[in-house]
Amino acid sequence: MSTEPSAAEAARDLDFIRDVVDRTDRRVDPHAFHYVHWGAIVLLWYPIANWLALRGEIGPMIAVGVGSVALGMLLSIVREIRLQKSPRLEGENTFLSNQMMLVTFASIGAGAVLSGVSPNFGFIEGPNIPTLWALVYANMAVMLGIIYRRAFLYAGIVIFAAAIIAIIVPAYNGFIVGPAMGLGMIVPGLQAERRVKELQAEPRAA
Amino acid sequence: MPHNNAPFDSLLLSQVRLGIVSVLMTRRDATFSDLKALLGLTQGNLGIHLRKLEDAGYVSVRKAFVERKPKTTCKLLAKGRKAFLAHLKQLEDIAREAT
Repeated sequence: MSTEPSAAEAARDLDFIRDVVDRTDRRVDPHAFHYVHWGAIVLLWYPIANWLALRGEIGPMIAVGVGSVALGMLLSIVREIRLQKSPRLEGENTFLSNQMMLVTFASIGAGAVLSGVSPNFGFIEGPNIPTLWALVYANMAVMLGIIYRRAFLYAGIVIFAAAIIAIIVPAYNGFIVGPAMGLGMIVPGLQAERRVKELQAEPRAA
Repeated sequence: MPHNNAPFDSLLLSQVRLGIVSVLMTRRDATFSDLKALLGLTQGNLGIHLRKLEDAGYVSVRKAFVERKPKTTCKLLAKGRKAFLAHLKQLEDIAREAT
């Protein structure tokens, strides 16, 4: 046991604790490239699919959908494998990045199940599936915004608003939700990627 | 003179050990490399301070091999958490009284 620190020493130690806690909390690599490239895919895919649907070209519309999902999955797998081979962010808060991964997988999983079940039981018709995915993305973005960074929260609100408009104007849902979902994932995703690069370049704690 | 009749915990008067416990308060656990990176410590320095915290029963240190590489994981124990919270309160009391 020891003597009491002075007021200046106590204040210095409190500042030090705050600094360490802050530094520990914010070191997260959320693998945001997934959000960026899936955002880019839906940004193009949904409006194109909507345009093809309005022209009655169902075959090409399905082909675009299958191709988009395949491309997205391929990019996710390849980039994730590449990332696993590179050194991870030093001192990373893996608890938070794991939570983000769980939120993403749970949301995408629920969306996939709903996309399969809903049209077959007449709950949501096939052409309205993009709106369903917009609601899934909105929910995911809001949750990411709550646990990670505000930019995702704002994106989630925008995507949700777009989904509501798409419910009102279902014939043009792809034109409405595609850009909202795309930009709603790309913008916060790029911000998160830039943040990771800054953290990687940050000098070690003194 | 001890503050509020409670003696200060000399283990946590070291800023390095205070830093280690602060990191472990924020996370469930942290690897040796995480602590080194977050606190900017050398391997030897970190090892010495961790040993003191481990001997006092404040942290647990578990060594294992993951993919043939040694991995040391540190966790804060209940005694360490209690000591940190008491120390934090004492620091806040001193800082408050000074203002």
